[in-house]
Amino acid sequence: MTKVFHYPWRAAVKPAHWRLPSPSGDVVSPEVGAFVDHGNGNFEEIPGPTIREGTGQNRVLTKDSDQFFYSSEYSHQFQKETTDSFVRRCHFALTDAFIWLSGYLYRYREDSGSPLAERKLSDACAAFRGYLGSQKDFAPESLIVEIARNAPGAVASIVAGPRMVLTREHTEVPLDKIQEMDVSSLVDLARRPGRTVAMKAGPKQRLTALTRRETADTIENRVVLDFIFRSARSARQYVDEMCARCPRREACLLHDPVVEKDCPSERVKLVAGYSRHCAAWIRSGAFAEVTRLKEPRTRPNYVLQQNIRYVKVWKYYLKLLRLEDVEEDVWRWRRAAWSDMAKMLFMMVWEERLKPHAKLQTSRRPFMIRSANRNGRWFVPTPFEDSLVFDERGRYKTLYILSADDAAGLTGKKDLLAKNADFFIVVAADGEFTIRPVWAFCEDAKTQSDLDANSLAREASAEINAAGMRGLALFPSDEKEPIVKWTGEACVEGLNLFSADTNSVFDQLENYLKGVLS
Amino acid sequence: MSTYIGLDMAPSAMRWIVRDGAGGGGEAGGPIYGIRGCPKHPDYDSAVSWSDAMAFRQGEFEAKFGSGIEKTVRYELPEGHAAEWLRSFFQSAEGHPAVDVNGTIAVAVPDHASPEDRDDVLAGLSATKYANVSLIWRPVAALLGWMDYQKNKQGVDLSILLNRRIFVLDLDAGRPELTELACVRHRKNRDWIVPSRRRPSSDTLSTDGTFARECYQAMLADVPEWEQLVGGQFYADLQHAIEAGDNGFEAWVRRRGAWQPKRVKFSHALPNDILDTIKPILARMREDLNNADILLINGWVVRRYGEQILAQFKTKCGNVASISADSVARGAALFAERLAKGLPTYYDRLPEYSFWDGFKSDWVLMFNGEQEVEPGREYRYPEAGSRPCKLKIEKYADNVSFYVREPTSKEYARRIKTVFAEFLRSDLELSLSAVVVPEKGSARFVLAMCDDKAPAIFVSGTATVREIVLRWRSDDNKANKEVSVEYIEEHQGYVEPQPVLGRIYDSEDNLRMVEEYVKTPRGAAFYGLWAAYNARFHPDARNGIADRVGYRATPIEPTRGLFGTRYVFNVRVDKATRAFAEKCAKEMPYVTPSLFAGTGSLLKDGMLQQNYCHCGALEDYKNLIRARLTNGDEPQYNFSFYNAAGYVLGEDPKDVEILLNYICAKIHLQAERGKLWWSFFRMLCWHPECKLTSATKPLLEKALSILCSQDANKVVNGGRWTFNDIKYLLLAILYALRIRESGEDLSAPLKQHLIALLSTGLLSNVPFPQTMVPKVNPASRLPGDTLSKYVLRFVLRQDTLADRELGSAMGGV
Repeated sequence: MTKVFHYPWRAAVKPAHWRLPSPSGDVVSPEVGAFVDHGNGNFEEIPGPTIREGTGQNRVLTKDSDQFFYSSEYSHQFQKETTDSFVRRCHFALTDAFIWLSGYLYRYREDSGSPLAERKLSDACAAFRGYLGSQKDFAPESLIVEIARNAPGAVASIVAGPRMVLTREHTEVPLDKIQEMDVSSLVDLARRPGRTVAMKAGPKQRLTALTRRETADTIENRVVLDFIFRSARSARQYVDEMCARCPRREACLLHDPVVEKDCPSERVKLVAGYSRHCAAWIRSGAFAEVTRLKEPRTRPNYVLQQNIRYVKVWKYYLKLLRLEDVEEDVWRWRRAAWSDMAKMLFMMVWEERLKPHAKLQTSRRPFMIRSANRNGRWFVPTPFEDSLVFDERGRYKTLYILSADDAAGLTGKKDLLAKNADFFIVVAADGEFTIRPVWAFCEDAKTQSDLDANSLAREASAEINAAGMRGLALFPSDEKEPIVKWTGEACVEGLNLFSADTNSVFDQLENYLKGVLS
Repeated sequence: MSTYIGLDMAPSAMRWIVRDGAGGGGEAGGPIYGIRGCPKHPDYDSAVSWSDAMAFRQGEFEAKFGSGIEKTVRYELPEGHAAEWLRSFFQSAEGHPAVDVNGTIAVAVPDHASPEDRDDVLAGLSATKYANVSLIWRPVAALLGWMDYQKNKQGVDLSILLNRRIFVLDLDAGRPELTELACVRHRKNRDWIVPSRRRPSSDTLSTDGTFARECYQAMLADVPEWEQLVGGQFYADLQHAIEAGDNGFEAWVRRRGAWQPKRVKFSHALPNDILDTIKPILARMREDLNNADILLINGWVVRRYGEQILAQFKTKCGNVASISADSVARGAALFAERLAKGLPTYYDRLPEYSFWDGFKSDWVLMFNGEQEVEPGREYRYPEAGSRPCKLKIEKYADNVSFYVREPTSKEYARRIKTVFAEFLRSDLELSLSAVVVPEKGSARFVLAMCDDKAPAIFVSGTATVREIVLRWRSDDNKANKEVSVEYIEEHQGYVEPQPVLGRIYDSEDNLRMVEEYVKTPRGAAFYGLWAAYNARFHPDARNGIADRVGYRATPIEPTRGLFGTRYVFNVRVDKATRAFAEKCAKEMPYVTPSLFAGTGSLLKDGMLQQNYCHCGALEDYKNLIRARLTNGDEPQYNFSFYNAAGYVLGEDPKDVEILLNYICAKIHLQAERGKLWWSFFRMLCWHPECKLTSATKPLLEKALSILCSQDANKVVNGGRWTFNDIKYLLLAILYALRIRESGEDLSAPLKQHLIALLSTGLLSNVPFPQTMVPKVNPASRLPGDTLSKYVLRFVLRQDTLADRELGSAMGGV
């Protein structure tokens, strides 16, 4: 029987938590990621809503394995308004982080001139740690920061003197001012009553003639205007997010990074300043007669490709559009993106905290990430390295972090696949295996309004423990204090990636791994 | 100052020597133990390469833990990946020597390296900034290095090596190789003594890499997890300990997922198991060596156990020595330097490329493998001043292909084919030449038009050219989509289809005759019109169809062979053909009762006239035949109906099923059975799109069983209307083997039945049909060969290329 459930560990939990799909559709908030169990041991993750639509529907084809050749559609309904600002902030932060990470690898390849060039995991970890937050600037580098830094000059020069074209218009022109007529004007003249031109010109002595008028309503200017609007929106979002994270949030009086004296982030100031510029450009009237694009323009004209002022704007425009596409994509698969983030965090702990103390490292692996996400996933299926060996007073323990298939292969326990975990921590010693599944989940927006993070963690750990599972579940949190809740041997942790103390996240994970090892 | 690098890429270790040309011995690099192959990363769709054994590779877990047995996957340097590996090695920031970009690099390759392997190595380095790359055989490099050592370090006068056979046994080449060489005086610089490669290693010594594994297993007899050490993450430690002469080393092994340290010990005494491994090699070398010869052995096992192993070889040869680990690299570096400076290097044998001469039905050698040549220049076939090798392409051909082979290559032969810009309007002569450079990869072939006035026919990019270069490897021909390289097996087991062109293309008169007939009102005799053109339309072999028809057109059957089964998209011809078919359909009824083939007025047989239109027959006629076959109709005494499927059907893949169903259902028919089998054979012979697959196999086998059990008897003993059909049964069997194209084969019992029928049964001793005169040299056919024996060879998969060429010639009628 087809079942739908939220929270990945519920695949192995009592059926009480499962919900049967109703024929008319089910209202869910699958931005957290819901799963469909088709009854054959496969769990299919369902994507969430897009950010561009309002109320939307998502159809999933389900097959009822009890009945032969029967299939039904199961539809979700969801509403964008159910999400709150934290969820959106977290989502954009995740997207930004992975776009930056994949760009990091591919920039290296471009610079080295070799498609085979790879970065070491240690380099990637160090760079990502720098991205998450440094002493100097808590706000990370982002496309909008790059735009704010590089684009204003080009846009300003366009605003100061946009490219104008002469358009031909038919207007009523006084007789003594007529310079040019065309077929339409002559036809209009012929149709007018009267025998002579003067009679046809009427009391006002005007005839329809061709005039030329300068206008800025060209394709390239429409693109520039669209770029200004989009980048302004992106800049506002960035400033809002960063201000919410700002360590001086309570002390901030004006809540305006441009004028705030002690604003700790240069990047936020830069972007806020850019946002003001955008408003000024729109108010300036240079684009008053330029029509808005109804949909993004992806095909350039000659000017956008060749004109030195417009080329830069065009390149950033394309990047913005792509970013919006990626954001929309990742928004639908937020849980999957968070799962990748959990993997990245574990890889960083592995590289920076555990390896230096390991007796033996059995393999190395280059850092591999896709250039574009696939259903929210950026990493290749198993980005982890092989194993680390620790020596505890002559007793050797081997630590693995593995995908579900590899864990089942190593331990010989095929039932691990039924736990629907994102990955597994396995310790092998003295012929025995210690296995801990790790799930990544996001808070459901509805529950988030009912439960605070601590309560959520407590309830989730109780649920996992009640199912007889020992494992770790991770979710993104914006609490200042670390959230760690245990029920039996089940642990749920809320991770704040963008807190002032980034080390606290790694401390949490390292403590958990050491606990498993011991 | 320019640098010269010699690179020795043995599976156990990689070593290199950099010479600066100032006369020094060179700076040694490496060894890097345990060179790894370069498996493709599944998500990246590109080769990701590593230079050390510690690198984690995707899929390793599946290999290690599949089926619950813990093991380690050993990566040898596989062909195809050597290119990527070399590229990454030279581009990586660590591990590669500091060399001059314009310097010369020589890479040592094993004797058994095929042209593809050699091309691969060159391709890998061609993508780097190092442009001057050459190859040298490992045994030659080893001997060069050893000679240099003897001369410069030991002060030996190399002239003592003249007139002696020198054997190099290379145990580090991936598999043991024994190569016969000699030292000779250079022909031009008489004071130089250089190696000459006499007899490359054959596969009789060993065909795979088990020797090395057996040696490791013998050395690690006390370690149950020896497979983990050999080729695993810690292989480099193992190899280092072996080559350093250590007593053992600290290893890590894994049991049930948990790594544990383990002290691995080696004994200094030679393990008996290694002796057992060497004995087969010794036995195979028995005939080659004698006391006066010199045997040089390269391999880590020999360097480690020294005299204990050398003593085994001294029983066969008086002068046995082990060469140092860097000899191959040193020799390769020497070669690179001498090649760059134009100094004497060594003498080699040219690769024995040969191409297939269709008329002689034999392979023609392009390069003489006995001739000693020196690397550094191109060798051409045919040589300058000799007669060019010409291929005659008959008119209407739209492609040319030739077979070429090289003995060390893994497959029997290759067919290199290129398509013309359009089909030929007249016969054409092409010249075929080949160029090979001994120290480089495979040969390249050049086809050129002999007639300067004829328009260019080859396609290169968007232009047509008069000359085209074709490469041995299909990857190297990728720039030109019109060129394809296909691997050919020696025994293919089936004949390829051969569509035919109609005689309407032979001359303008033929086309006009058809057009005139179409214009003539009803009642005007086709016979009369044909007679009017008869003077020019002379139906003998000279004006025959391009597909070499052997029969003559007659007044009774003037349109036989006029139209063909192959489309060339000539608008005027297509229009005339269609109009002809429509006029015939209008004026002559399809079904003519009581009409015997060969009697009566064939000119009034509407079915026959449509049949002779072949692929130009009207669609409704084709559909009529399909419908009647499907419904199981049996028009009495109308052989045209039973032959119709062979003439007009075959373009639709389902046609062969319809016909086979009919054949299986109408067992009671008598003389008609021969015609049905003719249709079956022709359908498969004339239509490449008509295929036999696994889906049709049961039906096919049922039909062939009926052929064996009943139809053969009916045809052979059937009297007047069947005696000519015997050959069609054989050809039906022959073309039924086209099922092998799809990877299937006939079942064993059926094959046995066919073998019995062809060898001793009713269809044995059937001679070749006189009308199907192939354009091959009769002297090339086996004496006493018959059609039955010929088909039997195909059934048994003992056919040769000559047989297949003959079949194409026969079937194209």
